[in-house]
Amino acid sequence: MTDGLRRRLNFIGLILGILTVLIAWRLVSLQFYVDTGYFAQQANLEYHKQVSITPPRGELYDRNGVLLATNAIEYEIGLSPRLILDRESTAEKLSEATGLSKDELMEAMADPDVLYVLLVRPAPAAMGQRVLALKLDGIVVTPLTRRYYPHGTLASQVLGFVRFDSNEGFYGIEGYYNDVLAGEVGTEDQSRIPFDATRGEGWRNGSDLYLTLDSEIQYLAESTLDEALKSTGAQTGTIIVMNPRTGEIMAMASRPTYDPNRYFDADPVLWNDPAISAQYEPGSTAKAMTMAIALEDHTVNPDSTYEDRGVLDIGGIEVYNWDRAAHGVTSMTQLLAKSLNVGAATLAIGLGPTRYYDGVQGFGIGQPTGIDLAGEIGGTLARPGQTGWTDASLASNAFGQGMATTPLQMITAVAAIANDGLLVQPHMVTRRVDADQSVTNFGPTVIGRAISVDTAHTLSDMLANALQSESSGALVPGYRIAGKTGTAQIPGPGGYEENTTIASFIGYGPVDDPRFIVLIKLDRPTSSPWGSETAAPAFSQFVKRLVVLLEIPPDTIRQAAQAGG
Amino acid sequence: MINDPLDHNSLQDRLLRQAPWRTQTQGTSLVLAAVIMVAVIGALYLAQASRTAGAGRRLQDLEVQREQLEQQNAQLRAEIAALRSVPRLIGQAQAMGYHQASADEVDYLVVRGVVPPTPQPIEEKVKFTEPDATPVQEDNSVQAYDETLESYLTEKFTGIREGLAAFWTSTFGTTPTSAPPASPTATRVP
Repeated sequence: MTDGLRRRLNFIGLILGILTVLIAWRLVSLQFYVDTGYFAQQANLEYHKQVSITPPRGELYDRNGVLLATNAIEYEIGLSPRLILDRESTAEKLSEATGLSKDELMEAMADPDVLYVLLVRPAPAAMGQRVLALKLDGIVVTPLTRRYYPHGTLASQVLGFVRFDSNEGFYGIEGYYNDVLAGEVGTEDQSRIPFDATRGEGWRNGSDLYLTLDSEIQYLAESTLDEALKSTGAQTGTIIVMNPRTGEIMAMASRPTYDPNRYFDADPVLWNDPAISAQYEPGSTAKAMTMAIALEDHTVNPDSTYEDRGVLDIGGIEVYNWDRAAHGVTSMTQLLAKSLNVGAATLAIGLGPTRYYDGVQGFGIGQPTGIDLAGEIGGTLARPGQTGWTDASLASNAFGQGMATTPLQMITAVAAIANDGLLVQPHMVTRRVDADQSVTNFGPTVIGRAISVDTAHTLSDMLANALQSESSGALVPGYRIAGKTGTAQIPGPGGYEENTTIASFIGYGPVDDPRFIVLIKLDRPTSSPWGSETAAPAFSQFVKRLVVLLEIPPDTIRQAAQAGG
Repeated sequence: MINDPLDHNSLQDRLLRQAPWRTQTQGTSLVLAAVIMVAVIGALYLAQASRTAGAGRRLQDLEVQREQLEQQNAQLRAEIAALRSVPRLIGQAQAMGYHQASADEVDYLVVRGVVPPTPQPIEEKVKFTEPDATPVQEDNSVQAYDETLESYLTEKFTGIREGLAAFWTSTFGTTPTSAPPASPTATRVP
């Protein structure tokens, strides 16, 4: 080896050695001395990605476990023209699976510069699964979760709906319990390294809710309401069925209604539930409350009488009976049976505003019941000194005019009479089952005592006797029923409407052990303006079937069985 | 100075001079061994990496399959619910000639000795709570498995002891006890 060659080799060796030392130093410095966060982040980006997890929404069941709302799958079908190799064959197969024409599909695939072409959204589950099974290159099938209400319009205004493009519930149960049903959205760290796979964190499945509704009673209530609207010519109406002991709503419906599966096709006005969000003047059904307050105050007893002259001057207005007749000496039971406005006004005036309005508020009038449904309003009740109250208000409020309640408030108030005087908060949910299978039961909540037990029993007897003495259309053979009709004028911008009424009936039974209370309200009936001729017969028709569903035998048989058989 | 024929250093030098390839062979063997070791490690690493990648791919496939099955399951649940919906069932029953029973179409029998529950006073039946009170939690979640070897053996031993006691009682009519029998004077009633 010549000296020249040896020097050149040494020089190259030196250069390579220096480079090696530099690289080694760089490796060591990267490992120990440089801020490694950036590089770790870059590596993470390469191997990991954060994916948002929207957990499945909780389901809704009725009290017997019948599914009322669940999550169904639909699909979005689209294509990426650039990824399709055999367009002719793809179009042919896709046409068979989707029903779209082959020409239409070929046109969608024509431009390879377009990244994505939407074909069908939403596609039914069967169609989506047919396309998925084809496993075609370039065809994108994305699942979409959709809230599905298998019973269609049944209890729609109670359930509410979930917006199609989000997991957000509106109105009814879906709106009130949205946070509970939706669960918690979380993130999942998806890794390409299989053993780094995690189940994500921060997310929680939505809870299932078991409602107090009974789907069979709900169906019966809705079909009864439909028949009543048809037979009376009423335009709209509401029916509520409640357990007066517990406040559980067994059925609640209004007409017209909508299909929550296609809420977007309905008039948004229908999304509201009139049973809790529309107020009306309750009319004579309020006389039950007036009588309860007077009995509780010992102003009167069932045998008390008053002289009914057919008209009463108070606060610059004249109060007349519905028949404009004078009924002479009248007992308290006759007052209820004949539904006399003059008698009710006389009672309220005798009580005075303070005791009367304290009593009415004790029944929960003028404030929301607190039911677990979205959109409840509190009604209107003006007290002395407040806007809208005049000297005549006390008399007119006594027979249900000049005040406004929701149907739910009225049935809750009358339920207190059935429930030995206790005012129970109405509620819709009986049980919540969380994702970890822990169960929360919701029991009855007593808001307060409206009247004493004795007063409640006395008034129940009076209401039952009043129905029997008038041979009311609300009577149900074999069962002792208590109740009160209502016929209210409808206030408009310029006073009360001519020749239109809201006819209603609230009744409960059996009187000695109330198991149900029912409110039926018919708006603007044309066959008759009176609640006794429209709502009361509908009540009777409904209860005849309701007692079968609730397995309540006739009073004589039940009492004989309770006496020992 | 006489050369010692058994001098190892000189012998080695001589051998190396006679066969210089021996040292080259040793060096080559070392390099070759290192290369083989690296190759084996590389092969093992590659095998492991490919198996890991394969497992990852299979996991992804299974996840996709699980998602599809969950979707199909949800869809089937929805279809079942639609088929079992009350309006549909009642419609079908009516088409078959049935109708909803009314109270006057139902007969009840009073069975002697069978007393239905009588209504309880409201205060006893209804739980008084504040309107905004938190509902009572009923925890039905699955209990964690916390059995230890000691508790397992204790439970088994207790079972065996109870079994023996039962056998003793059924055979001899008395209850075995490890405690000494009480003295007659202690049990005698004065």
